[in-house]
Amino acid sequence: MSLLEVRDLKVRRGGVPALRGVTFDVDRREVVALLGANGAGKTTTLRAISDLSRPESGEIRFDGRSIVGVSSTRVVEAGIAHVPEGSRIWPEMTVAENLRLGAYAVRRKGSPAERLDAVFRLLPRLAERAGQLAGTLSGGERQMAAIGRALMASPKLLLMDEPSLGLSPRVVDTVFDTIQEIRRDGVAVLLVEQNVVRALEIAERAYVLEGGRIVRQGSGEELLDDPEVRQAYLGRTAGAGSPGTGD
Amino acid sequence: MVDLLSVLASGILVGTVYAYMAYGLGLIYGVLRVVNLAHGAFLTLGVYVTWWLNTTFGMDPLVSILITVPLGFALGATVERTLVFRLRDSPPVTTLLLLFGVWLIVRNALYLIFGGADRSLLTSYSLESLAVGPLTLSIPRLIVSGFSLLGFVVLALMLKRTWSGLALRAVAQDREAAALSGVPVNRVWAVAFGIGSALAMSAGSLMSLFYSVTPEFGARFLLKSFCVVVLGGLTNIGGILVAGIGLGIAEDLTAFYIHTGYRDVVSFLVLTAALVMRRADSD
Repeated sequence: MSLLEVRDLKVRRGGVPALRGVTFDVDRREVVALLGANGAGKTTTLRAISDLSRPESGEIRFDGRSIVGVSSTRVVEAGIAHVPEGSRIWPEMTVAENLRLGAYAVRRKGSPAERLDAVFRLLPRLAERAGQLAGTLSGGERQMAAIGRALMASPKLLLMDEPSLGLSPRVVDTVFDTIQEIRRDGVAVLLVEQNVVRALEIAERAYVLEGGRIVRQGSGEELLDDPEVRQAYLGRTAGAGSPGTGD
Repeated sequence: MVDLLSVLASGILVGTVYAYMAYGLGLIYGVLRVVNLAHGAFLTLGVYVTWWLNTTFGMDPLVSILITVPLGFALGATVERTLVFRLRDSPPVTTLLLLFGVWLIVRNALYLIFGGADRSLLTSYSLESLAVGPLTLSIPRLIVSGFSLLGFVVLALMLKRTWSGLALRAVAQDREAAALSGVPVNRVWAVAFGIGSALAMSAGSLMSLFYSVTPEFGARFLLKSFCVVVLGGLTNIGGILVAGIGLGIAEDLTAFYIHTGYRDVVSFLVLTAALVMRRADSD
């Protein structure tokens, strides 16, 4: 049994079908990438899992139990943390407060102080910035704070929506290194990324969404070598090796 | 010079109460994005409950805070759960009108039960004053100002140290991010409305010491609350304290140097000026 099982998920946004029957799995301790063009339904999928959008039909099971219609709060309690697109940290709270509140769902279990230490070990930059207002952080630091905040909930599965968007190449490296360390700590990651090559390099498996449907799936390597994927998302043809235009 | 100093001192004392009275309005707006016109109802209920407890049981207005705070919280949370919550997805003006309706009902119920006569509440210390150097300070104003500051300290600690406080701030800053961190947004909404109403009702308890008790109490002080909250920056606790004190001083200066009759005009002028300047800022 997979950690997360999504079956024939259909979601409408503003009356228009955004997901037209999406099926995929995420296993324990696995990084799975969800790829596709803008509007393909990647973010909608993550929002449906976190109960920010209610599905029209279909099933989402986590750890064997259905979580369709289960409130965002209970979804976090069950072990799914969500790093939204654009980090969405609370700008007028300090970094430490942002992190502390990340443990809200599990505040009566275990020790938040120990978790905070673990997050600081993984993301030492946050320890330096702990007392600072989160609104004063750089883009990369905000993303780290958002990841740290999500990890404070001790998740089994981390949903990440475009974590490298708008960051400088060096910071993007840090983000991807962090994702690998998170997996090493035993947390599964469902990754939505526009940086297709980097995502496929670290993902065990990947799914390609198009118009609200899964049109391709396979291991990260398979999709990296797939000529159509290369054509569509990397803007170059397999074997040609020449850089294309846009991504 | 002594005149000016005593006017300033009295303005500061009244101003801290203004800030305390107004803060709930800002808190509710910050967390729910709802303009709580029922704030006027809770202020008025606060003075009436306090006055009634005093005339019936001889309870001191300061002691009645122990009743108006929990009562205000319960009433506010109930109004949110039963009324405001249902209009979650409607345009803001619907909620505004609904809460205006709540206020009208409370005001008219008070007319019906107690009549329209102005009443006042007297305690053993109501007319006492304290000489500080050349200044004479009214004891009730000193006490009420002290309680207001204490209220602000408790509130600031709550917002800074407790899970509920952090959750309130997070929902005010980014509701969806709060939900994604496991914060039960619906419950936080009710708590914010409860705290805002508890502040308004207990402000009524404090203010009964030096304002007359009438069903129109809320009308007069709702406007001043708006003025303080708009000037102070809605949810900024320090800003609201400064704005409250500023309004208190401006009113007392006007009353002393121009005419007492113009006291209540000040808040209108300040509110208008603040809105015009905000407008200019955003242009």
